[in-house]
Amino acid sequence: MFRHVALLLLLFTSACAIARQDNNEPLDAQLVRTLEPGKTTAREVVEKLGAPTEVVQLGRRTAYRYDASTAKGAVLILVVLNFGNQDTRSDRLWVFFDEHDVLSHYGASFGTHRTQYALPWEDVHEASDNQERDAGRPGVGR
Amino acid sequence: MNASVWRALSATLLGCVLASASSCVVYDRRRHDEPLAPEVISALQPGQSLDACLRSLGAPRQCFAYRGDGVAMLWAWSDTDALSVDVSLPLQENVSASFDLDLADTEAQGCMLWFGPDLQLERWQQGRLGDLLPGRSRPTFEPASDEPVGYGRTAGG
Repeated sequence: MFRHVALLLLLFTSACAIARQDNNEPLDAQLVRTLEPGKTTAREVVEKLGAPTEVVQLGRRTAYRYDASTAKGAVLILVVLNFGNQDTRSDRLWVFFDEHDVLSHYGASFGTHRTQYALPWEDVHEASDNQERDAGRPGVGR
Repeated sequence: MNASVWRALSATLLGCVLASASSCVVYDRRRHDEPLAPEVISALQPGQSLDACLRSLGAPRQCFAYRGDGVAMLWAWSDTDALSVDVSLPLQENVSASFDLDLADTEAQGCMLWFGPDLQLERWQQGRLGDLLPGRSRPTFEPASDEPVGYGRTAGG
């Protein structure tokens, strides 16, 4: 009898919760692909993408950083034993300009769409999961 | 008393303590960004262009000025585990004891690449962020020689 009451009590007192936190708008991968090294200027980059998060001076060169991140958290509360997990991924773009403010290089990573609600023992970096999510984001899937 | 009686008494005592205590075990895991694939890092070659590295590694977490017009780039990720145990035990009215144990593994990993002024890859290093990042220090105040005497500068004797 006591065991059944204890189990019922655990069932009613256990809980789970999810939470999501976004920082900045995800970058537009299709827009990023329109950047042309040797041609696009710093002014055009800012007109397309807006104000950068950070500007770094690299000798005569300059680099702008654009980023966004998404964090997804899941919590399983079993009263005495509790589990929590948070998966955070980022979209990040670095654009490098020469001394004439013309784009010389850029590097981009898109990860916000890969973020997952998961529990601590789950693998959130599986290649098949990533490919599936990449396919659903314009400009990222191959 | 024989050993089995002692064991039974110890178990009963422990059971009484746990029953009167409120205890909580939390396992928390936090993952931030994806690690660079080992095969991508092992494929790096000295003299490789910045463009080729950005194509294979994606955008870095941070860029730093290096040797004049050179650049150092850092890719970073973390996978942190934390196990915490919290036990509270009421001892008397208005008096309780609590015990907290936190076992956290918080070492962020990263890979730093250094490019010379010609933007060719010079070297790279993988490891803990603390070992890769330059030490933090406040920049020293160096007033320009033609700056008037005022805040932060005193007249020479």
